[in-house]
This record gives sequence, structure tokens and C-alpha cells, in this order.
Amino acid sequence: MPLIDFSQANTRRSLLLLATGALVGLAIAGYGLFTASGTATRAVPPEAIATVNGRLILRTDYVTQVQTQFGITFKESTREQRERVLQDMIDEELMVQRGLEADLASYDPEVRQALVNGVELQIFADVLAQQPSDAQLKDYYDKHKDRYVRDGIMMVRDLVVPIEGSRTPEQAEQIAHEAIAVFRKSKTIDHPLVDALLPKLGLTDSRKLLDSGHIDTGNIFDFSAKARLDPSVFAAAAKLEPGQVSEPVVATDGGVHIVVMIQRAPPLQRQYADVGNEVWADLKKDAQQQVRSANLKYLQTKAAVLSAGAQ
Amino acid sequence: MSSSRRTAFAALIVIAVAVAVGAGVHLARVHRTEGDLLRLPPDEITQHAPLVTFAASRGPAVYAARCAQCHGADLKGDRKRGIPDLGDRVWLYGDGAISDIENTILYGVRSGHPKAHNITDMPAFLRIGQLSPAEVSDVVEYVLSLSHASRDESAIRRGYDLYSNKGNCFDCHSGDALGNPDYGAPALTGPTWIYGGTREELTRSVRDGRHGLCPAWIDKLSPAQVREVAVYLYDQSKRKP
Repeated sequence: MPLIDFSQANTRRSLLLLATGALVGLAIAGYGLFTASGTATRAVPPEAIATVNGRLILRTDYVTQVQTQFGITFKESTREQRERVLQDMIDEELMVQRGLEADLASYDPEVRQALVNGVELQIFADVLAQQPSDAQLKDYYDKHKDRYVRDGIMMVRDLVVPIEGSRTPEQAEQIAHEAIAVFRKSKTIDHPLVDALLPKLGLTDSRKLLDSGHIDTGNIFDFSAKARLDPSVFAAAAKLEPGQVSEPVVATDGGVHIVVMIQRAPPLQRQYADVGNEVWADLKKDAQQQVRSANLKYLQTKAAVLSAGAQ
Repeated sequence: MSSSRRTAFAALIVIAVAVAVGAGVHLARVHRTEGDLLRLPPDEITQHAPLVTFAASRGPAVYAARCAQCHGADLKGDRKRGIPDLGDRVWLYGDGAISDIENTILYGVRSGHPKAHNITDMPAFLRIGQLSPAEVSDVVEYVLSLSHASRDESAIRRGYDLYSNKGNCFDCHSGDALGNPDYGAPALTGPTWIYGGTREELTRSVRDGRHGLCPAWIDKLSPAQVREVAVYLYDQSKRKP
């Protein structure tokens, strides 16, 4: 009589075999899941010189690395040199994989920046390689002429009629008109003249143009004047020629201002021939920005971005 | 089923099995040869004639599908678009070894891949303000003189001075104008020109710069396909005198 009679059904034996099979399966799966070597390919694919946790180190990269590192052909390299390069490449791959495992990209600012730069380089590749024609550049220049203006320079005084005590805005405007008439009668207008006339005409300096706490009596760029003066005062100043005095300007602060232009070099439109290089750079920058925006838009459609909003 | 039908059926089965076995053996051989091709250092493949024959016979199909649309079915490229001739012995990057060709195919030129050839490009000397229009003209005269296409001695002298000093041309193209394959800087001595060697074409190159582009094929072709097309191109270029 056989030790085990397989011709007879045996529920206990069936369950035992089933449980044994399940345990063996779980053990194999666990080994594969929880150990890197469990999932490794046993043979190195022909295109690779090594694999690290399944990731290939390509022979091509290995050969290039040997040649680059030692400045010789691969054939000329010694076994020691090859072994050193291979070990270095394996070590690097191990470190990279450790970095990924440690999720460096989620908190290391340098790794994050390197990733951003890497992605940008990839998406900008086409733009960077494009060679715009002269016609394209000229067209871009014509559409963005305002970008190629040399900023103007002004030496200017912003004077104000103080509204004090019972003085009404109308009275302030009248004082301003009288002061303007006096300035316009002067043969030359300079800082000493302005400073001398201020108390006599009932004016004060608005002190909007200060340099280290003192009234700025030097030349300043238009952008700087624009940033410091009231918008309506700057608008009036920008129209003046040297030696001219503006009409009374009611600023947003309610004060009545007079602008005295002492020296002026107006903004200058730079010609295409002089700014070709800048136009080229700007066109590329704009194209990169467009590609970047399009890519981000696409990524946002794929991503689940939840935001509580800027608070 | 009659006996003759049974015999015919059996014969069909035998033929089918034979075809399947034959195909299997063929595929296994191809697979094994591809493995041999990939395991060898690229520049040692030339010492194994059967492997060169194998790769050179399979490369054209890959070339036709992926490369021919730019480089042309005849490998001659397109001067108007600055696409180099792959059939000659002149190589922009490297010296035409299989490993050089393979690297360019894998990672491309200014492709956006971090390993692509992208050390430098030809600046637009006029646009960046490095050279004036007259200076561009002088440099072009000097370059033309290298292939005996200009005899304007004074312009050539001025051009040589600009080439060697203010223009910094020597930095990439080298002092003897023979180019530098590490940078992808071509020789300026002719007769091979990527973008053309006429006065007008050279002026455009110096004035507006050049930025050739070749995609990276590492994610689009298998390693065997890359090597096959690299060996094919190497083989083709070596056939030229």
C-alpha cells in the first residue's frame, strides 16, 4: 500500500498543500518586495556594463567616461583604469539612488534647484537652438519699441504752495501762478535762484527728491523721478524743456505744485541697429517664458494641485 | 479522414513546426549577435567583420526611419539647413569613431539632454557687438583665403588679426583653423562646409551665428538600433576616399 494514496480524496491533505503553497508564495513575494537583490536581474543586459538595483549603467557611457577621464582611447586604457571608472560609476549610481530613496528633492533646496534647472534646459532646448531671422528680430523690435528707450535724465525741483491756516486751494493756485510768472521772467533758472525765490514767493520744496536727507540737486534718471514724484507732477515734468516751469499741478495729496526743470536730457529711442543683441536676447527670453508657461499649464492639467489660496 | 488527408495534414504541421523553429533559431541568432555587438567596446567592432556586416545590414532601416528625414536618404544632409553630410569622412564631433557617432546619436546636439553636445555654439558676432560689419567682412575674407577663394591681401591680414585676437575665433576653430571636434567647431579650410562656404554664406554664419540641433535618440531607439546605425554610418563614411 502506498504511503500516500493520491487516488483517494483527502480534505486535510488538500488544505495542507494549499497552505504550504501560499506560504512559499508569500515568502518569495516578501523577499522580492523587501530586498533590493530580490528584484534584481541576474544577468547584465548586453548594452549595460553593470546594473544597480536594476538601473543600467550603459557601456557607451562607461567607454566615454574612461576616454574622457584619462584622455586616451578605450583600447589604450588599462584594466585598473577601467575598474576604477566602473566602480566610480556604480558608486555614483548608489549615491543617486540613496538620494532618491531619502527623497532629497523634497527638502534640499540645491537638489530642487538643480531639478528645476534641468527641466528648464530640456524644455528650452528648441528655443535656445532657434536662430531668428533679421525680419523676426525687426518685427519683435517694432512691437516692443518701448523696451529700447534710453532713460531720460532730469535736474528738477518740485515746489509746492503749502495750504496752511485759512488758505484755500484757489488762493494756493493763485500764488502758484504768480510764482510761475516770476520764474518765467528770469533769464536763467538754477538751484541758487530757486532757493533764493522760495521764501519770497511763498513756496517750499516738496522734499520728494531727497538724497541722503538733502534735496537732490543733481541729475536723476526718469525712472527714479517717476518713483519719487507724484504721478501728475512727474507727468508735467516729463514734458518740460530745460529752463521751463510747469503750470500749477494739483497733486493727489491735494497740494498745488510747480515743477522747475533746470536741466533735461529726454528719453532716447534706441535704433534697431544699436540694440540687435538685446532684441535677440529678449526675444529668446520671451520665447523661453512662453514655453515655460505652456509646460506649466500642461503639468497643472495633469497634477492634483490643492491650494488654500494666498493668505 | 482519409489517409491522404491525414498525410497532408501531418505535412502541414511539420512545415509549420519547421518554419516556427527556423524563425525561432533566426531570432535567437539575431538576439545573440545583437548581444555580441553591444558587449564589445564600440571601437573594437571594426575588428569583427561579421559584426560590421550584421550591423551595416540592419542600420539602413533604422536610418531610413529616423535620420533620413533630415540627413537625406543619400546621407548627404542639407547645406541650406546646416545638416551635415554623414557619408563623408568629416565629423563635427569626435573623429568619426563608432563611439563618437554613437554618442551623438544617443544624446544629440543641443537636444536638451544633459549629455548632449552643447559646450558652445557659433556666436552672432555682429549682433553681440563683438565685430563691426566691416570686421565681419574681413574675417570672412581671411576664412575664404584658407581655401584660396580670396586674394584681397589687406582684408586677409586684417581678418587674420581679428580671427586671432578681437574675434576670438581661434578659441574654438583653433589657431590653424582646422577646427576642434571637442567643441563641434568645424575646420574652416574647406572643401567641406556645413552651412556653405561662399562669401555670402560665411558672412551669414559670422554675422548671425549658428546653432545646429540633433535630437537625442536614447529613449526612442533600442541600444542595438543605436549601435547598428552608428556602425552603418561609420562603415559608409569609411567607404569614401
